[in-house]
Amino acid sequence: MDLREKKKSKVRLVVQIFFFALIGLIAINKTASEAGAGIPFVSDASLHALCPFGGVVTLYNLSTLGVFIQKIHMSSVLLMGIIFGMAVLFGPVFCGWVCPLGSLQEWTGKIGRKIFKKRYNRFVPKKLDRVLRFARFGVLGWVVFVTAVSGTLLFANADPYYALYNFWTTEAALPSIIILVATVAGSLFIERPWCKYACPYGALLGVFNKFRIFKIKRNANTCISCGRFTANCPMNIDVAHKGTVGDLQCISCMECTSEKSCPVEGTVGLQTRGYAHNPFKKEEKEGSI
Amino acid sequence: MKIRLKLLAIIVPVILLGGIAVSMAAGVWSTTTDKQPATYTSGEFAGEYNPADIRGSYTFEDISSLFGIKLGVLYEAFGIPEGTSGMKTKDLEGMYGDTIEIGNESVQVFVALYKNLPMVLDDTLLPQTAADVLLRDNKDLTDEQKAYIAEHTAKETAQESAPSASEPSASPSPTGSPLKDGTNEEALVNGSTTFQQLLDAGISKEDIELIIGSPLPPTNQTVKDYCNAQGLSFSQIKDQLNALAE
Repeated sequence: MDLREKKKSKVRLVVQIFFFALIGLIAINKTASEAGAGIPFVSDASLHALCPFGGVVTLYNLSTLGVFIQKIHMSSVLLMGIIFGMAVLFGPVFCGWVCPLGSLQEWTGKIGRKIFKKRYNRFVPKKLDRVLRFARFGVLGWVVFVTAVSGTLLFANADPYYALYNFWTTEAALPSIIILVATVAGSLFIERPWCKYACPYGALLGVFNKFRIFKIKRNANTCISCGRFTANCPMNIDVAHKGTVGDLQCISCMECTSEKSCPVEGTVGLQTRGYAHNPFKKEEKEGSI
Repeated sequence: MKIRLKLLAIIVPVILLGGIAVSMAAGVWSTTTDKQPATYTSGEFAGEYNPADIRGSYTFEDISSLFGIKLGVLYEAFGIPEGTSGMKTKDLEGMYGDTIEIGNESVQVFVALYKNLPMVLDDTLLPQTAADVLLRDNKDLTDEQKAYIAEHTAKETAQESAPSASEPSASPSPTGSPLKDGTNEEALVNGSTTFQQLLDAGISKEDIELIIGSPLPPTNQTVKDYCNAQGLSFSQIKDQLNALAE
């Protein structure tokens, strides 16, 4: 398989489109059902019921009072468990393969990439970027705290994911719509700005990168240090200087692997075992963070 | 062990959708609240569903099957056209408009009186059609209950009181029925209000404790859940809290 053929692989895009359309269909069917015109055989569950993050924020209520937060149901807790299970194996694949908001940002980013070419995704100064990336942990802490104290889904009022599938209803609060518009607009300059700087669920799933079973590993012995995988990483992770990608921001999108970006077969992949280090090959810097 | 891109593209949807399918097969997948009202914990009716716990999200079909009341009777009582399906009790508020307060609580009272189940009766209104059905179908109503029905019946029908685009506020007040107040303001406390929301609305901790008669419970708990757990009348607590908020 030559490089040109490898780069054409669109399997992740297909999976992203599938979930984007599926959740969109369910959200539309919810509105249609309330108007008495639901689509047969399609779920009309509310978006809250299908939100795995709802499972996270209801845990405090569930453990202290034995009840779910309003609008959250068992489905959210089960989805949370399934996605945590996947994260233990492969890291935050939910972010890179399933999350519709992440997909929308990525697709918008393709327009930005055409406009700004190599400058795209490089607008934020590195020092500032490094600090801002911790902001999503602050958002995570805040959301969990206010939900635990209030027993209500206050974050829905600011959640762009909720606005994405409810902007046509009165349920979408104005702040969430504004944040959604800002996120999409920001995606023209920065790839996945919400994921990088604000997503509380991404922050939580990112922790799994530290102990996931299958990790992105780079074979330093065959790596030609072309830097393509670093340039193609939507989360700006410096894959070129790591043996194992354990970065909290990795979304397991596989864009850096030898099947997508790396021109050398078998150099970067998702695997359990790492590569033995060749002491005769000089490396600028290696390790994992 | 190595995972290829195409294999991951299969694994991710299979685990996610497969996990949902397994949960469904095991009967644990639920995207809605279990529509099982609380039951009476003591007395003659212990173990039976308590109509005071009927929630606004319940459909009339749910109530029909939970309390064993024919759907046609419920529809007749609340002026709902035959053939309607999936209508929730909270939808009555939109159907009757703002001028008379017919809603979920009216259904609670109707079910309690229709099935002779104990419930603290407050100022909840019933439509005239519901009063007619009760007097016709339940010969066991006490004089006290009949007097309550007579005093708490709104004479207007849904069609008469429904909001109209041309005459939004021209409907007369229902006769012989004590409306809670003359305003259209939404009450602060409903079935989903938490104690934190009461605090946020400016009601002091001391006032809440005085009304519920015990120390403030966890603020993430709903007032209704607390009342049900403590055997308190949610309607009475709610009215006192709403009065404080005004």
